[in-house]
Amino acid sequence: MTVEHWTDRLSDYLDGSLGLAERRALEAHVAECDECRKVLDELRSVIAAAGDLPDRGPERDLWPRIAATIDDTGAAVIDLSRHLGDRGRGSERRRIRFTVPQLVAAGLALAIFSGATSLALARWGPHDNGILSRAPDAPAVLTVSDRAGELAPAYADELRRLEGLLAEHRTELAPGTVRILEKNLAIIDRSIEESLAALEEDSASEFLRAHLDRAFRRKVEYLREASAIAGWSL
Amino acid sequence: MQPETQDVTLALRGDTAAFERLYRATVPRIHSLTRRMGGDDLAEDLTQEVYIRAWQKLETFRGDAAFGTWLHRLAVNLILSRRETIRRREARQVSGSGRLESIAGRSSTPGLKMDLEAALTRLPDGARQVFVLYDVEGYSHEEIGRMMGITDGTSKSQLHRARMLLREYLS
Repeated sequence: MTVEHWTDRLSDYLDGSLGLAERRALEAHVAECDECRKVLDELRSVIAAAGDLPDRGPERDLWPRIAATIDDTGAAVIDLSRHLGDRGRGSERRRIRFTVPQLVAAGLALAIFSGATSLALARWGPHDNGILSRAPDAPAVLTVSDRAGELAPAYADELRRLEGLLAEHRTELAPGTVRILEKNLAIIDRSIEESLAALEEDSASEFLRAHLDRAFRRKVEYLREASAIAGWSL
Repeated sequence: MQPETQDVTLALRGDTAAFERLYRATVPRIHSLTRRMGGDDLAEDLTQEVYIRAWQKLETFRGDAAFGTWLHRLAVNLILSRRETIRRREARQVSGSGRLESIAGRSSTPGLKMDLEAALTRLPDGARQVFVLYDVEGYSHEEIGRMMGITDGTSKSQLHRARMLLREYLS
């Protein structure tokens, strides 16, 4: 057998993935082959050095540039103003089309178009600090619009206004755009449902409450973003 | 509650100061990853993108693993999604004797670890990425295969190729 036959198996040997018979055969060969033994020792050194490499941050502080891209409301600032350029040109009013990559990146959603808007809000109502808490006598399955009055007012009122606005302008959206928005809404609603379910198990968790709070805030921001892109004023 | 979970909770509410603390605690490891897998030229851009993506996707962090672990996996996925960009950037790098000379210059700094960092830049990108993920970061071949869309066998052969090349560069 050639040297390559043995050296090709050295990584597997060092990683413990050779079978017993193969391992014994290789060990017997290495015991008598200076070249293979040298390669084996050098591979061991490479692996040891790799596992011990120190971590090192960037030479300059990247935080100012990161901070400039995110804002205190929890959303990354995304410039979608170029999508307004097609509206109103010529005599024919064109459908507003959001490109799929920007929609996916921005996570835009339209509550009015998705059946997933129905949330398991049966046992949750307003909390002192605006975050949902358990309300004793709420009905079984409720939509955001239905329970708007019982949700934190900042979210509920604005959600209702934005949903109404988008319902009014629905026919201005291209079918493909509607599909993407429905899909993104379903993702957001699943996140909300999962947070609600998790809070059922651990109602005292501030982490989970903050998680849910952010999901609702994000939903409002997305609806606001969609309206702004399309130029629909509140 | 662990300190990092407290900061994640605050960041979920829009507290950028809390997110900055998470950034400062994790950036050495994340930037080392982007540098080793993406190259020096792209490392800063990749690192920034990791944290912006983390801010956008923070609500997907469930708290069932350490924040650093979640962030690291996000970073790996992001870097791998940029493989084409990395490959094009490397194709424009100086090749052949020029790169060997530049490595020789850096290897005047003592220590196998410093030489290894320099030698990593010489590896073909696929072999380098598997080596970093397996030997530096500790992922299994199964995990690497899933992330990179390759078989376990391909991951193993790329790893062996990387190790043998590094052995040559460093000996």
